[in-house]
Amino acid sequence: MSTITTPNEILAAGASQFAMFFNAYRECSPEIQEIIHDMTAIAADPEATADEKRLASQTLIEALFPALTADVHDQDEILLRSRESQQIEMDLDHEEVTFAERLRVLMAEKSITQEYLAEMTGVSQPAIANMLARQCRPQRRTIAKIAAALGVESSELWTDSIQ
Amino acid sequence: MPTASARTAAWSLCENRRREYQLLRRLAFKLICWPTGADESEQHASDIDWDWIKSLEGKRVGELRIDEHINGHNNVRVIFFKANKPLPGETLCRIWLLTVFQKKRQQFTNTEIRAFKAMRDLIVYRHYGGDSQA
Repeated sequence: MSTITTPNEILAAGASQFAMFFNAYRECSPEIQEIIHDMTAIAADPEATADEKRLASQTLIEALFPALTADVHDQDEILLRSRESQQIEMDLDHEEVTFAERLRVLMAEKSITQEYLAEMTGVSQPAIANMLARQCRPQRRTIAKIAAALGVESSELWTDSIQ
Repeated sequence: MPTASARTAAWSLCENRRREYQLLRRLAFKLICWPTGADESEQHASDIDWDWIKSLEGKRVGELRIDEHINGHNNVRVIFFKANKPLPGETLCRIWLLTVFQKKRQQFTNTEIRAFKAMRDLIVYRHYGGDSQA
């Protein structure tokens, strides 16, 4: 692996990168070039915060290299096919299954309908139906509201791992 | 549909921790339950907590509040653009995830708003032919 040592080599490497970015810029439509101008101004603004510069830089990359966005779905598909990710998906699913089963039992014990629970919690009835069907991962505040409505502790509904 | 920016930002927020990323992804994808009818005031079929970004009124850019600690971060937000028209060959209008970050102030700064608008405009130019009604 080569190491850049002289000022000329540093400039040459920078110029090479500049050429790549400049070519990408020239291929953009005038409207997208305008976006690039605006985001470049933010990225170079000494008063912009690190977070603002990061947002601008992300947008610049997206504007200059649109092929990256086309690959996003594939990248996630590949990620989710790995053994480690599949185990994580199973763990997340398990948390939702456990919640749905516990909620179903408690609702049956207390003769509470989805409609009544929706009214008590301010969460829509379709959302509750989706949680019971494990098609919607509940928010923490929703778990707390449901627990309060059922008169139980949140821990009776949700496993401790993410609380 | 996450953009490259959103995916990069999510990975960065999660510091490459897969479980955190997959949890965040799962929570963000609850936007899929968006009402499909014309009346968007109808109840959502998921318990999402979201708002349109008022400074971008009419641009259909919203913020989804994530009520979980993601990699130790609270106040995580997903910025999204809810398209008003389907892409050719599709029946549903896409929801584009623009970026993800930890919100550190009550209000977005003007610079953040400029960046959100730029992200949204990029999608409109690239995928909807610049149609302002998209």
